[in-house]
Amino acid sequence: MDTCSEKTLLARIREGDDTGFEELVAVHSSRILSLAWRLTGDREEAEDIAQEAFLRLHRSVGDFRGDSSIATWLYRTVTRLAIDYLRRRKLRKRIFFFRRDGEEADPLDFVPDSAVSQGDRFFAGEIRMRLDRAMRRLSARQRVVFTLRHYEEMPLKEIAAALDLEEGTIKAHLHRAVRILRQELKDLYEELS
Amino acid sequence: MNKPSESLSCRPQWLTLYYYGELEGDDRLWVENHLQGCAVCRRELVELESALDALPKGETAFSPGEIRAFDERVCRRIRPEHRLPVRPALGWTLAAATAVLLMVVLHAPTPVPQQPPSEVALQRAGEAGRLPDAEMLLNLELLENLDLLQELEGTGSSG
Repeated sequence: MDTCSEKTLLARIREGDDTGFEELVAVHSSRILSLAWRLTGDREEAEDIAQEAFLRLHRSVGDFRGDSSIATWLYRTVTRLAIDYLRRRKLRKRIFFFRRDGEEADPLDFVPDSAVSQGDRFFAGEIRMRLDRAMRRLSARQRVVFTLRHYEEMPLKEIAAALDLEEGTIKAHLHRAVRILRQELKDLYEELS
Repeated sequence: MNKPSESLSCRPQWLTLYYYGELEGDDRLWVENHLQGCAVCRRELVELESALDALPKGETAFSPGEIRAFDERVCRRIRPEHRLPVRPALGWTLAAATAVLLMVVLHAPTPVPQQPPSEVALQRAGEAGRLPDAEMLLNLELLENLDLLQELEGTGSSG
């Protein structure tokens, strides 16, 4: 969505035209849901976080100055909500230390693509499950930085701006995240090669 | 932490940034020159590339139908009619509750002479139009037994 049509849409929403907001949701929901899912690894939580981001946008649309695009604003909000969630989850995990990692994985996260063969499907599911487990080893910030850079292909400068952190810190988080993931998935890579 | 085989000039973090295209100008040039002379870093970069390229990309967790359902849910939350129905519903509930209360007050039964507890309980259950449940029956039975015991006790003490 270009800046001009975004401004028009925002003006409509400010005037109380809810269909304008519906259009906005339709434009951004797919990416925002996907981002929230990648950040949390949990479908239900992803929906809650994405919904909360849209509702916050609706509440603050009157004050929206347009310094950043709506997409950037939503990305930033989802990222912050996800960091909060991930930190809470880690804390819960520390409290209920007896809970194993594997028990937390949601089987629905691994719903296969019908276009691929059963063997590939099994292997893709296995990779996804292992990746999900490995991602849980990362700190909230490491996970967010890695997801935004690797999957969302967001430049590090933008990530730094979204998280209010120095670019150097973001670089360090990315490198550590990559190192941990490689370590966690080492045997899987060996199988692949 | 550098691997033992890495030289002091190796910069593993830069390889990660190089992979993601996050190095510019002199920094990028430095890595490219370094790679030419460092077999360890060349190998490290190959491994890094294959590791990161192997991670599944482009997956979608939500089907188009699920995304549409999500959109509808969000839009329902912001529509005024989503918030307004609470008031009329509350109004009707209050009106109905007041009417029921008035009926109860106006049609309150006149006080009846003192009756044994079991009869009172049965009569109240009958007024409510429902049969006493098993627990109530059990309680009534206990009360009757208590009455019987008291009677027997009275008989014993008088005799």
